Amino acid sequence: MGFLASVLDPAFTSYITPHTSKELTTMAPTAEEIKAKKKKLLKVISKLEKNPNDIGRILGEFGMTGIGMLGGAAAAAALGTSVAPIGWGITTLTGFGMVVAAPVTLVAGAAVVGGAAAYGIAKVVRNGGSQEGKQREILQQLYRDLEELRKRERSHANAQKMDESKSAFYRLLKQALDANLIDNEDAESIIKSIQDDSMSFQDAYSFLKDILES
Amino acid sequence: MSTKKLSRAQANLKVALLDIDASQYKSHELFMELMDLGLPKEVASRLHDLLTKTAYAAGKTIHIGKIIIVKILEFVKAHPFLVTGLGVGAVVGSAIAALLTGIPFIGPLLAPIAAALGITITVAGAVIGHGLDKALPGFGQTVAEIAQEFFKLIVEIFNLALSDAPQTRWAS
Repeated sequence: MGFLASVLDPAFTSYITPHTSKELTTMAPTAEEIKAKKKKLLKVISKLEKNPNDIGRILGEFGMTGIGMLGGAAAAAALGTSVAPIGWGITTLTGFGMVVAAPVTLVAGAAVVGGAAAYGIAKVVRNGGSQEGKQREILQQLYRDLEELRKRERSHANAQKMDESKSAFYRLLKQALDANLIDNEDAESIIKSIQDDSMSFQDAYSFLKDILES
Repeated sequence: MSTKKLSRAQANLKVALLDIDASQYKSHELFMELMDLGLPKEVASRLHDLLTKTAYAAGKTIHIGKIIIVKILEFVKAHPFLVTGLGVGAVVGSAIAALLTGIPFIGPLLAPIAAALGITITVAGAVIGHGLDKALPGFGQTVAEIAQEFFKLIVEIFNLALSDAPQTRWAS
């Protein structure tokens, strides 16, 4: 592995500024590489299923640490990620025999931030001083934010079911990846955004559910 | 390479992941990268405006302007030879043109930038721009074709995920 190569010679590095580190690949992965990566991802997910709270350690083992999906060259090299999207087939669900246990609750695990700010802004908006249309839009956005926060608060309430739900989620993720309903990149992105909290379990779960049901 | 069509639900997931991806870049970082490209000031400042645009899709607010900027920057960085051969304006222009032809409702969002780059959309929906059909020796495709291929997946994702809004509201 480690087929990543930087294509640019020094003459062009003026286009690359140091604060975003993205690796560019020269070739799209072959079918074998995709399969190998998928197998690796399935292994990661199975481990996560058994120990959902060990996500930091497990991802570290597989070299998937790093911020977000763009995460370091090490992660990319370890799992053979590329910039070019991989073509993936979508199989139907009929006859596949997917049995998914619906988790009772899914835990977001994030602190509830920004709640006070949302209320503060709402007051300012209601007291006028700006155009009505814009106001309504801002209000709508705040209501959506509030809903999101409430969702996370509710999911905090059932801490006991936490592990069960997380495992169930990883089980679902495994099935989706196995059936080629999501590609390797998506699976990896989901795992990473769950770890660094940029996506809640609930959101990820509802996306997967939609995909499986469509 | 043959790809089956995306389903709506898959597009929604991909949009959400794209949003998370883009949100890891700070706006001022992206702004600096735009400046570094060496585009004419007018174009750069209109691209900067794009950064703040959002749309509602996949059940949440998507920072669609940011996603587009990130993808355009990726495109420019992925084709350094095109940039030296044709100039960064043509490369960015071909990216904008590819997005305009692929995503019908994105016109209002990209119109100012397109105008500044000298790209016009005719009544019939064709996108015309100087230099878009230029090809470099050794490349089998024009820059317009290269751009369309690069943005094919993004176009597909946006079309699916953003299509249910009766009128996409470009909030900022």
